Amino acid sequence: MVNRSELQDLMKEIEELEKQANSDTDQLIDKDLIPIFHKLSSLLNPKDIDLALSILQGGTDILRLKIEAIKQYILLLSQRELIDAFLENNSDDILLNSLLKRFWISPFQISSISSKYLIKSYQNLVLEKKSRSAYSPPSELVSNSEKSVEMFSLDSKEIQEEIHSFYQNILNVLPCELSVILHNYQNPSQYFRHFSYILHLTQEGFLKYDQQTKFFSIAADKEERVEKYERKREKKEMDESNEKKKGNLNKIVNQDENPNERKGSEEI
Amino acid sequence: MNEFCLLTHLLSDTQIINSDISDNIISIGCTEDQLIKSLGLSGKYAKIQLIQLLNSYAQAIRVFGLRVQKNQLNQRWFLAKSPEILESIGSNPFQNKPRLGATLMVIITSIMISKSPVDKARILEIRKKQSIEEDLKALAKMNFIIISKSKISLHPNLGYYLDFSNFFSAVEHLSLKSDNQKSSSS
Repeated sequence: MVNRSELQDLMKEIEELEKQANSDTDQLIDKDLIPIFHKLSSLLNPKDIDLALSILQGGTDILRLKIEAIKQYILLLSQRELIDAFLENNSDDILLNSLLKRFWISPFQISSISSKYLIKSYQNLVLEKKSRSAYSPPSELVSNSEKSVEMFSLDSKEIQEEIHSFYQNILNVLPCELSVILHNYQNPSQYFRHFSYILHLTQEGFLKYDQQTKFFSIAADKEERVEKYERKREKKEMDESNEKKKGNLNKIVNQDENPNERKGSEEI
Repeated sequence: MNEFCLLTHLLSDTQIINSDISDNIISIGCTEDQLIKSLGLSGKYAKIQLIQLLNSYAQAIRVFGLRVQKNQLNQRWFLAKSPEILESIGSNPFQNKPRLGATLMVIITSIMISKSPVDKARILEIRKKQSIEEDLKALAKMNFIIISKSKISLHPNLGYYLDFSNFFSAVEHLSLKSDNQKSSSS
């Protein structure tokens, strides 16, 4: 039994060395592995042959890693002077920067479908319409690393104009798939902005979506829709202008009723 | 949910770590042990199975300009956008700042060959500039280096932005080539 527990201790030692090697193989350079193999040979017995084999396999793996680390170290020693000389003789910013750029990567994170973005969308699209009650997200859902994207209101005149101009732009490419329509909008915030325009246009009946072909196309009564849209816009503008005129008229009438007040304002 | 779905989540999982070294240390992806545990792999061939799975996953996502990368500074596997993609969409931080990129390149190489933090004075000497203080400040702000008095060390986040092994091989290769050219001309 003593023999078995000693073997198990040896196994733990091997596992510990494996962990160290995984984080930094250079640590193995200073480790003396010979005592491990000596100890193993002294503890060998037919009963625990399975455990002994596992230790041997682990030990040889670590030995292989150590040899690799030593090879790398020797290589580094011999090349250190060469690399130093290269850096000393090449101070050109563009050359050095191009070397860095060739191997520059960036971690892949999807901030545009993050919880913060989705909650903000929910607040803008649903809560503002007062169709649902407020939902308070648990604080741990919102990560510091996530960036929020400013949302927009579909009621504003500018957005309506933008949607209309977007619709005019895509008329030539229709019928086609969603990816083709949004091909020019690779930036995530732009992509989702124009995606929402498509949803809006579909809901308003300007676009038609075929689930089987997955194609968007112009609605059959397109002309009528466009005319309706134009009429709606003109009417809105006319109403606004009438309101304004009415307001001015009221003001003039009020001023005529109170000439002193008018006089006062002129003096200023 | 299949293994690829799970891998996408595990390899892009991001956490912010509070540390004494810096406020903004990020931890993205998973270590080999965490991946083996989360994917439910077991037995003595678990590691081989994981490598095979990562290889086939990497093949599948290559079409999206993504790759599976190991952070050499913390041994975590994570999902990364390839240098070609970053170049074409212009999101490389050194796109129009060659001087800053060159200073970082010299710092990384010097630290890698000395295997310890490097002196500011040594970097200034190699760069042959009047001052590199502004470069160092900008790089520290970008969380690529840590400045402690006169010493410069690499920020742990840098492992997520540079393919260290291929970068170092290229530096070695260029140094050898430059030495050969020098000796043949002399």
